[in-house]
Amino acid sequence: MNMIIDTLKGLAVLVLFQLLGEGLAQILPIPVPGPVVGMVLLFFTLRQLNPPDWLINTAGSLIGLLSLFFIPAGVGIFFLPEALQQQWPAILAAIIGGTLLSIALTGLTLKALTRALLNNE
Amino acid sequence: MSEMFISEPMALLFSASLLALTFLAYFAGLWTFRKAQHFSLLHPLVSSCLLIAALLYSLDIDYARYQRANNVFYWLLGPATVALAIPLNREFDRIRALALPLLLTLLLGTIAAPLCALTLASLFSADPLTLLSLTPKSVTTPIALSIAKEIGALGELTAGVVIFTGVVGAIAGPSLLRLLGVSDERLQGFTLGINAHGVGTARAFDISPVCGAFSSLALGLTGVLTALTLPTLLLWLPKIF
Repeated sequence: MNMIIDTLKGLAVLVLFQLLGEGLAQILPIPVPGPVVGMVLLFFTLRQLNPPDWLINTAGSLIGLLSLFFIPAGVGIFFLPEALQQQWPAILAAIIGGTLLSIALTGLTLKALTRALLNNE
Repeated sequence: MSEMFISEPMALLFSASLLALTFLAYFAGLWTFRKAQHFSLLHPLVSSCLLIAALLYSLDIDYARYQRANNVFYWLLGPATVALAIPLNREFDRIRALALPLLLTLLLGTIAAPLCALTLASLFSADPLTLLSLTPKSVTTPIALSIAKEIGALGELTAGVVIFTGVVGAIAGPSLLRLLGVSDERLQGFTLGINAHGVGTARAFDISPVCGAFSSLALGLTGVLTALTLPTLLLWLPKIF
């Protein structure tokens, strides 16, 4: 029972920060989604206050379930409009080839840039 | 029209089954993934999406109907994104120690990701609307959708492309990085976040909490920076392509 209440408390805090983020995002001149602004707000709050255990635990479970939350959107790629069907080779090339290429580029750059810093550890 | 004759409780029961389908497919996928000792092609997101799509096709169920029944998951992505602040705060000292290289790589990544996509897709002679819809592909879904709207891309294509970019990054990213000698978890996490947003971040948390924290940071920063730079980058591109 206590665990359920703790989870609900944690969820309430996260949703509160999301709502604050949504509000602030309306005022910001750039297209940033509310939850990302909420994440930044919570981050700065946590720099001042240590998070209670129930918040840490709720956050941990939500993060652990991230893959589950992406499923309904992921199923959508199998139901693209017919007009796009002949674009499939190009789309696959960009998704597979483009992603691997940019992972390699950024990964190697980051490795090269951090070499000096990490060697000193 | 036939929906008018379906009684309210039946419709509710149908929605509940579609919701249960997502849960069942997820836990079946997770179980298989563990049994297969985390063999990355069997990532639960891949197997469960395939399973659900196959079932919807064979039972002739509308995707829009499935999507409506599963709205709660879109809703939960909000608080889950906010929750990323907690690992971010916990690992902040480790992040600060690498601040400069992280920021430089981030700048490169926000330009490289759309350019790599455009280069490869134009090799296969994609039409202009498809090309445009591919550009925000490495950005977290909500930001990608608002960018798509801003640059006049096709939102439904962008949404699908974004998820599967994340899946490709999550599946192949860690092995590719190890192959290239990028073995540090912090660097792997940050690279996953730049290129594979939330899906890559979920994978990064599988590797370790530190890896996940670096991925969360990259996910947020890449989204915001791409929103700021992509519309300008696109103004310059016609001169190159």
